[in-house]
Amino acid sequence: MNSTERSSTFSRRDFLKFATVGAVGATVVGSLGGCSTGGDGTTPDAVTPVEGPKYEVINTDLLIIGAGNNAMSAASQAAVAGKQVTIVDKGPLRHSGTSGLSWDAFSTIANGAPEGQDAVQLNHEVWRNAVAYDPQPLKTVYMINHGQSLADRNPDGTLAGYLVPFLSQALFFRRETDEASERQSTTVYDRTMITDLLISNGRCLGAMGVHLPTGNFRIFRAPATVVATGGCTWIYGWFTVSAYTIGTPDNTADVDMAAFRRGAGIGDSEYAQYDVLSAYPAGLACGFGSGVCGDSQEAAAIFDKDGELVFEPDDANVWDRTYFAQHMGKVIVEEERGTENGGVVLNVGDAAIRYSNARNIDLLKLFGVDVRTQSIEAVPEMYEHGGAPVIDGNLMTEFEGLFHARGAGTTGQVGGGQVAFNQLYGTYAGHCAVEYLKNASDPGEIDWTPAVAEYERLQEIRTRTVEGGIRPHVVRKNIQMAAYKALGVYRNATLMGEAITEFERIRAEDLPKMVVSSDSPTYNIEWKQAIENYNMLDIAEMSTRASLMREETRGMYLRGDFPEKDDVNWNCMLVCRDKGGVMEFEKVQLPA
Amino acid sequence: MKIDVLKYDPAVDAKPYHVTGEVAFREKMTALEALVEFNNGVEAVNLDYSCACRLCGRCAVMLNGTPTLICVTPIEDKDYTYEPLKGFPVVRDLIVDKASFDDKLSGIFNRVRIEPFNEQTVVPASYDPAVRDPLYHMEFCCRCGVCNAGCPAMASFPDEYIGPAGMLAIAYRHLDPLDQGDRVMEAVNNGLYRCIMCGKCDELCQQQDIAHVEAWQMLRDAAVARGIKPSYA
Repeated sequence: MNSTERSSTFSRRDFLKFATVGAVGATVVGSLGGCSTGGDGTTPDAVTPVEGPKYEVINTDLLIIGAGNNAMSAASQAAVAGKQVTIVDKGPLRHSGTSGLSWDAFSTIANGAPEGQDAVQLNHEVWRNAVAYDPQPLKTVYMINHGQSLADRNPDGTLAGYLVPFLSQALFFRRETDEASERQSTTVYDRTMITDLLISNGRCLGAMGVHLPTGNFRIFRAPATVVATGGCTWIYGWFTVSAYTIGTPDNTADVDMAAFRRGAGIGDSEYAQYDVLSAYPAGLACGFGSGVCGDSQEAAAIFDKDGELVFEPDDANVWDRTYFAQHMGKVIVEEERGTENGGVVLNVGDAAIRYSNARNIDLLKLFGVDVRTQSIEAVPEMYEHGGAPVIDGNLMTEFEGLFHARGAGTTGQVGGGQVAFNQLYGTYAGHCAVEYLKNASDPGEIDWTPAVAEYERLQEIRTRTVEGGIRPHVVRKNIQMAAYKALGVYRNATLMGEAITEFERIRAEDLPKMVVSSDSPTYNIEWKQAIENYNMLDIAEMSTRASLMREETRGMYLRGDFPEKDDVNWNCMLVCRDKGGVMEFEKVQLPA
Repeated sequence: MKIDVLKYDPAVDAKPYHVTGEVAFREKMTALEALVEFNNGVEAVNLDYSCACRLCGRCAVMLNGTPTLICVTPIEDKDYTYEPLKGFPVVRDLIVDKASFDDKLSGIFNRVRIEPFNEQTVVPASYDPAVRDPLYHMEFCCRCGVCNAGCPAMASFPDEYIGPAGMLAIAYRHLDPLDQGDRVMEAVNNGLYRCIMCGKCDELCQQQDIAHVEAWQMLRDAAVARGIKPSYA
């Protein structure tokens, strides 16, 4: 076994050495040390790589954090403008987040304003700017040029809704990711989790995090960064393998909470979107690829625990998503007509079901469940969630050079734009970043101390030993069960207060005792989960506090103790800031 | 149930090793649930799963020797062994590296066209249902690699046959009326006739609506019509 001469200890001195010689594009990859013994295949004692993972510095014109529909729209825009773009994807490229799912995303691509946006919750300036800029408002053309086949057709084979702004059904996100990742001017670093932003003198110079397969610390340097990392719904409850969401474990608000800890104001965290998905068997809970929906179009199939319809047959309001969710909350919780898991009962019978769910009928039969002849429990699942840094009319955050493609105010009380606005805002974010680069000044001297501190923070989480330590999945479930209580379609002060008490307990008691089973940096899932848990707790607590403070009903949930909308006191956005470890909120008026 | 998991940290271990433990069976349990129970109750296992509903493709492993998307696989009250998906380098435990496979697939999936569409040239193409239905079903391929891992032809002709996942991408764009590439030639070039039409891909793929062998037959018929059937076929 050979060990190398080179010191493998990360040091500030190494960092500063590179910064002062103005190295650009430098990549320093440390050496693998240690040798493995145990020829009988058993795990040898104490031979993890010498003294921890290495760091790499990667340079680019424009950094995009995220690789979904929104991020790819930004990447397309920036590439068209001639920029060398680097995309950083937390998961395996094309398989990450909700855009990494091969599902028939029947959310629309729309030119209309986000639903219910008569009120001031929307930042109308950025909305107008994004719409005015949009180089291809005819989304059919955009989508077809980005590889979509649009195979969902009328029976005669013609495309439904041709050349209108709205498209419904048959959008498969991987086409977009295939297109964007094909460009020569786009580089992708995937399976790399960004854990912090590189902020120097109030300016964002890039981002940093962990390359998951190796555990290496990667620093991405860029004069402009676009964040497009999706909404965090993974906080919302827990079945056996999934939260109460079609969302994914990739989206744990890592970058948004990093911005928060660095001083950014976070808005819209109280808002979320819900629909209803089957939750039985538990292992298939809330899976769009495995269950059936109880959405607006299936309202006639939605019953309470006693078999009474949840929506009246002639209730035209079911198509209003806000009403739909609030009515669910009223029925399930306030009227106590919900099932044990806080859900409803789907009785599909012979009703026509959209294909993307109908294909699941045969899958469910493999489990002995026949949705045509038996009822099945379904729950409101959270598929979108707000909570992002505040932005100006050009999608720039409070950090110069940092743009956020779904920043607070972009969709307001709707709580996240899903497909409809990701493409619009992603395109605009790419454009704004490119425009900014034209006049961006040199950063001057770089303060690397935040990078050193972040590296040390991550390694501490990985190597921590604690008497009576708690594994990350246990801590996580505590967060999720508290958030499930607080952030559903029905909320009140009692439920949210109890959740906040639990969040405070988790922060004080659980997090410090959180340990991982193995300290090897090689694709260490528990290390990843442990890092994410800090962010999940922050966003869950922030969302609950914001919702508690907002004493009214607005957005897709019913506040049982304040069932009316109150434009006198709450016609505003709530922005959360970290003031010495305390979450403080202020009311902010958005541009009209 | 006795659950056996093959663990391996290449930075530490000389070779992979088995860990076993008991997991309580539950009615209508999935193979992913059993693995998560093992992780929670017996020993940490590194698996990178995401959607838990056969859309992301990340949970594909060898389950009792069969390539399987474990999130949608019902299990019985018996013993199970979990090993990493065959045919890919193992990163750690049940996590494999599919980046190379994925990039190549992506290249095939990108549409071939002389030039982009505009409002005038985008036509509401009337898809013949014979085209539309298989095309739409192929959209649900989540690129999990289960088909490749179980394909006997790939194992016999690793230099010549791209495997079912790649061939499906070719079939998809062949069906797409807006594609202008020579997908039939691409299919033959990538080993269409090395496939032995055994149907293992149809059997293993957990998107039940994708008709693989029908697609290979369609491509063969097109190759014959073009006169580009290889001499070894």
